[in-house]
Amino acid sequence: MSGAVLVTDARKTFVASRRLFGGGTPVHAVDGVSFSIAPGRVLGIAGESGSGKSTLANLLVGLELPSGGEIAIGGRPLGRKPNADFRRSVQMVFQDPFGSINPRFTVGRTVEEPLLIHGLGSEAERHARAIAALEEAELRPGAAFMERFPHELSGGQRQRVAIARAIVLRPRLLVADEPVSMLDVSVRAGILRLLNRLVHESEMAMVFITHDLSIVASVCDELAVMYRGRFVEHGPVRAVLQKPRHPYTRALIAAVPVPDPTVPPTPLPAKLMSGGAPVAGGCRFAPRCGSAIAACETVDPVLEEAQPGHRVACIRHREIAQ
Amino acid sequence: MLALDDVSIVYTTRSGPVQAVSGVTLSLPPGGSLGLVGESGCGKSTLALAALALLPAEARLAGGAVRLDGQDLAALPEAELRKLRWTRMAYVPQSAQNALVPVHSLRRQFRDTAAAHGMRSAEADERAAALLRRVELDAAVLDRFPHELSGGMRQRAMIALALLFGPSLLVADEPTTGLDVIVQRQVIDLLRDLRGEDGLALLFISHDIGVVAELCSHVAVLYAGKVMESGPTATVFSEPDHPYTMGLQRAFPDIRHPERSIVSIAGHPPRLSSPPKGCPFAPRCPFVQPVCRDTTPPLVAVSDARAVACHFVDEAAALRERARDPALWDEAA
Ligand SMILES: Nc1ncnc2c1ncn2[C@@H]1O[C@H](COP(=O)(O)OP(=O)(O)OP(=O)(O)O)[C@@H](O)[C@H]1O
Ligand SMILES: Nc1ncnc2c1ncn2[C@@H]1O[C@H](COP(=O)(O)OP(=O)(O)OP(=O)(O)O)[C@@H](O)[C@H]1O
Ligand code: SF4
Ligand SMILES: [Mg+2]
Ligand SMILES: [Mg+2]
Repeated sequence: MSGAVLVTDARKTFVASRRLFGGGTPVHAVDGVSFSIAPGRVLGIAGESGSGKSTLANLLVGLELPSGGEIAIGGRPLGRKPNADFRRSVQMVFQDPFGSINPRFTVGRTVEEPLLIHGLGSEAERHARAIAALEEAELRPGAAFMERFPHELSGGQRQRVAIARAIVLRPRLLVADEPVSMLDVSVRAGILRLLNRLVHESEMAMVFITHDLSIVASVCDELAVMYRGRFVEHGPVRAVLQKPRHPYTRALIAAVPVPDPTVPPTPLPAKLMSGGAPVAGGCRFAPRCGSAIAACETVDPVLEEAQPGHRVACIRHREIAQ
Repeated sequence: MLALDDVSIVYTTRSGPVQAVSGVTLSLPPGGSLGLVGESGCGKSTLALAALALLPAEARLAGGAVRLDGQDLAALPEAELRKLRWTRMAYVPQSAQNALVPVHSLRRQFRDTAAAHGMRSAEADERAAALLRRVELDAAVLDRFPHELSGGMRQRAMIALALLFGPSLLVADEPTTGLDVIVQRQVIDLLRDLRGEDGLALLFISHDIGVVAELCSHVAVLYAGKVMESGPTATVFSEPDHPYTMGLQRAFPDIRHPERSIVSIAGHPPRLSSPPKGCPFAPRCPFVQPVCRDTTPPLVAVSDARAVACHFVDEAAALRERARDPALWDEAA
């Protein structure tokens, strides 16, 4: 397959070692996830804290090694350990623009560093590529930013520096883990638009991780909703937002505050907040699901196609869609 | 019940004074709810601390007065204030989830707080159990440690602790920031119930206008330490009169309308160590005129409930129309 990214049944299991957490209990942080992303497309991944989003991101960039499954980027499999080629083909942008770039380095050094690490280009070429990357990140003129330090920049500008650094290697895949959640609302749109443009005007694919469903429509083509290590719904972003089929997706959407005081909040099922741990062999969402029936305790639903390209893991999705 | 009258607050720093709050006037009636919104550094937390007379040593009330039921807090001795702070008003600080003492069980934290104000352990335990039920936590969590609770449980436990002495005012600084949407909803519902059923007045701070729209009847939009606009939440957000509110509203995504594009407001807030002349929003305002850069627009009442600080408040309807165009905000970028 010629896709930029192909993930097949990826898994990551952590074995908690700290005694406090009942040492030895394995945590299936990513528990069998499959998807592909075409070049120039964006997959959004949403879900509550602890659902496994960052673990999946770390697998994609080779920061964590999978416990099972296959990950291939641009046709190159990750194999047992990421090699330099793999590392070059995927780059990451983190949540915290203050923590992810070294405060003592100039912007120029920060952006040139990945080229240095991979031994690419002469000094003059690296300089030129860094300036070009800054301009692509809309820090113009790029040359004027090269000698500046992070503390002289606003939060939005710092995140743009982090993005310039991530694209300077021309990766096949950009993984952005909550890239705007620490930024002020007033500058978020600019960063979202930048990411949108960078991907859609190139062959680079992107995984965009967020817990904020209200922003996914402005960047993503597809949306996957993750719950306890699995995708429970995955489809075109508008379809998932406007016709959600999984009860968890519905709850997530209903819980998003609407900036209109005349609209009363949609009530959430009481079970959503109080539900306990899932029963082995049943649907992992059943204990919190307002639509659960007896069968949900005994069947572990797999993703099935509800509409072309729109997959849902819920045995009741047809009735729920009514 | 709470009234801030022309309050100004200055921080003394090594590089000179920082004018964090300038001439803010706000009031919160008994049982009312007031949201303070605005971007990072606009002075929200500083105002919350001033309302509780809890400003740090490096901050100084440079003008105005904070009154609780008509009583000027600056005139009260510290011992008196300390009593007031728990019995009449309560505080849930920013990142409160991390404010619990990690090595103490919740029971110990309730008892310690109680003891500091002369409440006995037996009574504290009884109150704690009732309050935890009030915030929909099982009384059994009293014997748990903070790390054994989820973020939402910790946040609700903090709210329960703040209510130990039955205050009539709760000051909550970003109590839902960093929580998952579902947990956030749970905390919002709790605060709404406390307000409605128990008559608690709420001073609620957030940078999220969606949360304020869900919870507060009134709102004040702050920018660079000043009130840009204030009034009933319903009308301020449906018909903003200040260009900054218009921009904030256009910058905020609405999940019901994925097709609507959001804007960014170019530039950044002014440095409060050298506040600019004129309207603080002028450098970022798409409607700026020469007068804006010279003269500071005063906060004027535009109806009995609303006040706006913009030279062009009379033209607000036309500006609102122009503000709908995303290109207007992009051009400024
Ligand atoms: N290094 C690790 N060791 C043990 N457990 C881990 C490790 N990293 C993550 N986990 C566990 O894996 C699960 C998924 O965590 P992850 O950080 O991927 O979630 P997330 O969806 O990114 O959450 P958030 O929205 O809070 O960032 C959690 O239960 C977490 O505690
Ligand atoms: N202890 C301090 N010393 C000096 N300056 C301070 C101090 N605390 C706050 N400031 C400054 O006062 C201004 C207002 O800060 P404040 O914390 O009240 O803002 P905020 O609106 O709560 O921001 P945030 O949304 O980031 O919490 C800022 O310019 C800040 O840098
Ligand atoms: S006073 Fe001028 S600069 Fe300030 S908000 Fe109004 S139009 Fe914009
Ligand atoms: Mg994460
Ligand atoms: Mg604050």
